Amino acid sequence: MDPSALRRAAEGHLPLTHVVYHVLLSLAGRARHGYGIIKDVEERTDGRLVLEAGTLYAAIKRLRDDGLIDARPTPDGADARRRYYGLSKLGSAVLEAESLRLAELVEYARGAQVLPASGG
Amino acid sequence: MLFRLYCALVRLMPASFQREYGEEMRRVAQDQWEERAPYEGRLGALAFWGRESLAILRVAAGLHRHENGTGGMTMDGFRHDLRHAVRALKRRPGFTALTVFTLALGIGATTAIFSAVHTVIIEPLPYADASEVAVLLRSHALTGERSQGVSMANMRDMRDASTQFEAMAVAEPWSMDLQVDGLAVSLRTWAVSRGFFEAIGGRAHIGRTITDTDYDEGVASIVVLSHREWVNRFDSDPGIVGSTLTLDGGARTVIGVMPAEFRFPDAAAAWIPRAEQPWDDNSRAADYLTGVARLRDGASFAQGEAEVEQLAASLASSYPQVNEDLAYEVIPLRDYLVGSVRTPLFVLMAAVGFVLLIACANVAGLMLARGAQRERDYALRGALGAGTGRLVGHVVAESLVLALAGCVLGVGLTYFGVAVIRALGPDHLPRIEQLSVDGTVLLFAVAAAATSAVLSALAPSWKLSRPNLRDALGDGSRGSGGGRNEARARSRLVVSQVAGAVVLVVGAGLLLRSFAVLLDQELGFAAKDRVVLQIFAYDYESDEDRQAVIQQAIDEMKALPGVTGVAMTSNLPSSTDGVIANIEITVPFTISDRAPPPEGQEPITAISSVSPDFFDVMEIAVVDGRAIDATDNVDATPVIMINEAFARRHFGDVSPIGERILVRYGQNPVDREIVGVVGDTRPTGHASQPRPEAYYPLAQAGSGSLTFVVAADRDAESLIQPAMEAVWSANPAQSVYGATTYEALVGSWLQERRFNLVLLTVFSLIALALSAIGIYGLVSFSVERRIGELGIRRALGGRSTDLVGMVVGQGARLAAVGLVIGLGAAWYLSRFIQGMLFEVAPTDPLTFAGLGALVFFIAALAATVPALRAVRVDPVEALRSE
Repeated sequence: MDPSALRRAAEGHLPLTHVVYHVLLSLAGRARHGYGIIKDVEERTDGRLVLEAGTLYAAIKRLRDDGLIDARPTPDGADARRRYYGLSKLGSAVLEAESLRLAELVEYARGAQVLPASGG
Repeated sequence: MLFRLYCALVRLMPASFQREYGEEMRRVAQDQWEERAPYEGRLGALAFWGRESLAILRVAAGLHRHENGTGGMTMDGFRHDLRHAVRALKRRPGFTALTVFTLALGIGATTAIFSAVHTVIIEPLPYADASEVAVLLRSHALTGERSQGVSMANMRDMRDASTQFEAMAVAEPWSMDLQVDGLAVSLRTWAVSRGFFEAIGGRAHIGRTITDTDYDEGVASIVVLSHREWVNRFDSDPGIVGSTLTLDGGARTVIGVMPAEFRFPDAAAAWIPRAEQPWDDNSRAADYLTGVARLRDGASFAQGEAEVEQLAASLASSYPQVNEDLAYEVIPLRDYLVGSVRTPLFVLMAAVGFVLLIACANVAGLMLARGAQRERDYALRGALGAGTGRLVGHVVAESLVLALAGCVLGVGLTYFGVAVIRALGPDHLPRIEQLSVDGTVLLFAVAAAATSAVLSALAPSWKLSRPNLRDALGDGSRGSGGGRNEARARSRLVVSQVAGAVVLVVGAGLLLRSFAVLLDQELGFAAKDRVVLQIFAYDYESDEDRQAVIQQAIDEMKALPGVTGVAMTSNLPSSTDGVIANIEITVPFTISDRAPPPEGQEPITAISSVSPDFFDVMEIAVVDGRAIDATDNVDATPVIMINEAFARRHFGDVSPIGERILVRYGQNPVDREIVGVVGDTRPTGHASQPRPEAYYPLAQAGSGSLTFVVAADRDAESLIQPAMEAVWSANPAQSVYGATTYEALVGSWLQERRFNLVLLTVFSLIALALSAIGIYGLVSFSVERRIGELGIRRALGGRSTDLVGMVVGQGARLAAVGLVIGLGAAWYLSRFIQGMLFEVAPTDPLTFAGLGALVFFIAALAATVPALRAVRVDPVEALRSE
């Protein structure tokens, strides 16, 4: 897929829900298993977002159905019963697009002086 | 348990989702819990699994919908379901109100009892490192009876020899008079030995506690006040510390105020340092002091126990005369404070748990019925391509809405319940005055509501997510019974409800029978329409002075309207240590004409000094000889009376009148002639057994501890205040230690049993009503479903009685199964309330049979109402409805 087609495909998935965005974010750069995702999200948000197993797997199912993430081979030495997940190309593009969209929103907020100007 | 519930819930997910992720979800949830478990208590576990379970329900509903292509993803769809549920419930106000009320009852009762369990048992004690504190009890090697108490000499020897305890101290009950506005008020003071506050771990709220230096140069004239006294008498004035109070005529400086929760021993009002007493060294038998000890760092409780056992043994061999059969035990402070209420509270907690389960079963049953009513509709849609996921979504959403409403109403009921518990709860329920609805309790209510939402949604969702299409459509087409699967599921619910109700009803029945047996126990004296009033009259120049004051008080009391008699005793039967202190004196005696038993093996008797009209006023019958009268004064022959238990044990069938006994009591004990025998009285309430007692004439054996008994021909309540004023009018400086009606005093022995009984009875009645509603609902439902069949039977000439019998039989069969299971469970469970029973076996056949029959009768009655409706079915109408 050429880059612009990929971007168009990615934008079709926006906006993402809170939970989905965090799941994708935690898979950025490395594959993780389900429990790893929960821990990662919990740490990043200082415990403000603790995913329940049910919520996580509902999101994983949807992300897999949509082709944003896929199952990865279990790394050597890891518990073989744990399934790892990683971002697909489309998933990475969606995460990037959503992040840009959010950044854009923050810029708008700065412009409207809802937030202090950047650089500080 | 919680994990298993979670696993069951995972199975509500669509099958394909389960295959793909079910195993992983279970593992992840478990991993997460294992990491938290070390930091979380039982409540944390409930909160964690509750949250995870709710997430499953929410997601399951969303996924089912998604699979059926009928909605968006999770949250939005779920909100839609919730809105739909609210609308649907509004359309059926009767069903909704009944269900919400049912749940609220369950949640409210459970939460109210939980708040008591939480405050009384779970919350940490307000003493520093309370787990290291032990209370010393004396146990009698022969009888095994435990009693509070250690003598100063024994305690001091143990303290000096101990290696496992860093502090050991005693507290001695020491009533003091505080001068307030010219009147003397009795202050329940404890004189504590060196190291008491270190041992118990008490820190002052303001000021300081008594420390070692306060004992160094004689004991300091200081006092520590309880929080309650500080608030009630001194308006919480922080300036109290450093000020001077007049106590027992002497000046004492207030050095501190203890925090509100600090109430050891008992309801202490003040603490003073205890001076070494001249008799400390040689009164090892004076074991009425409360002993408390703190383990040194690193010593285990078992080590402490072993050491005390060994120290007691060495005391017994060093001082065989007084310490023979001596054994001391240490028990943890927590056990000492809440030991007697722990089992009843857990029993009540289990009972309300049952009520909540039964309520959930009812809600589940009602929802199954509603689902079944619509099942043909849904099955048809399913056949046409739509799924049944929606149905699960609706059930889940409805149970959540119902649980939420139930929770709100339940919390309201909790406030009410907590007020009831506070009003009704036994006085010695520790910290009961602090009982309140706080964050933890509210969290519990929410957890209980979440649990009930999950439980009541479980059966219907399980059932409805696997509909049997052919059955549902087939049933309709056959026009008969139908909904057999739902009926089976509901039948199981009803059976378990009946079983649960039987367990509770039998439990309450056993308590009720115990209570009835207890009330039938003759006290041996009349408590009705009597005021009892205790004074400690030690502060007099001479016996004559004291006599004059007492006589004047008696005269004034006799002049009060309605008073028919006034008597006095040094120790009132069935006093409690609450309002009226128990001044029990038990001493050895010998019978003068018999060979004396070896020293230390003399029989013992309880003794008290009474005024001549005591037996009259108390209505204790004189069964042999004569009563003490006014001629038995200090110049007359020394006489004594005994009770029947005394006479039976030591004289058998022979009349003891004229026999002489020597009771080792007082400075110069003399032989006394037995002049009369009186009926037995119960020394400590209905549950206690009469024991040998002897009575001295008050005129021959004066006492400063005196209790007035004022008999009246009317309700005694209104005489309490005038009786107190009679004492003060005789001597404004004479404090009244306590005054109440005798009935209230005797009743306080039953307070705890009454508390357990009332609550358990209420819970069992709720359970019974809920199961009756369950049976009623199921039978009505099945009558509705069989209306066609019933109509045909009627048309073919079926007799009404047969039809009623058929329908009632259905309910009765279920009730019978529930009854058998419930009686079996009650048979097993009733052993846990054995300690709460009195002369009733936990498997009392009469209670089991009688209440089993009652539950069965009520169940049959609940089935009869819809059955009667069945026979009114108009055959033509019924057939047309096909």
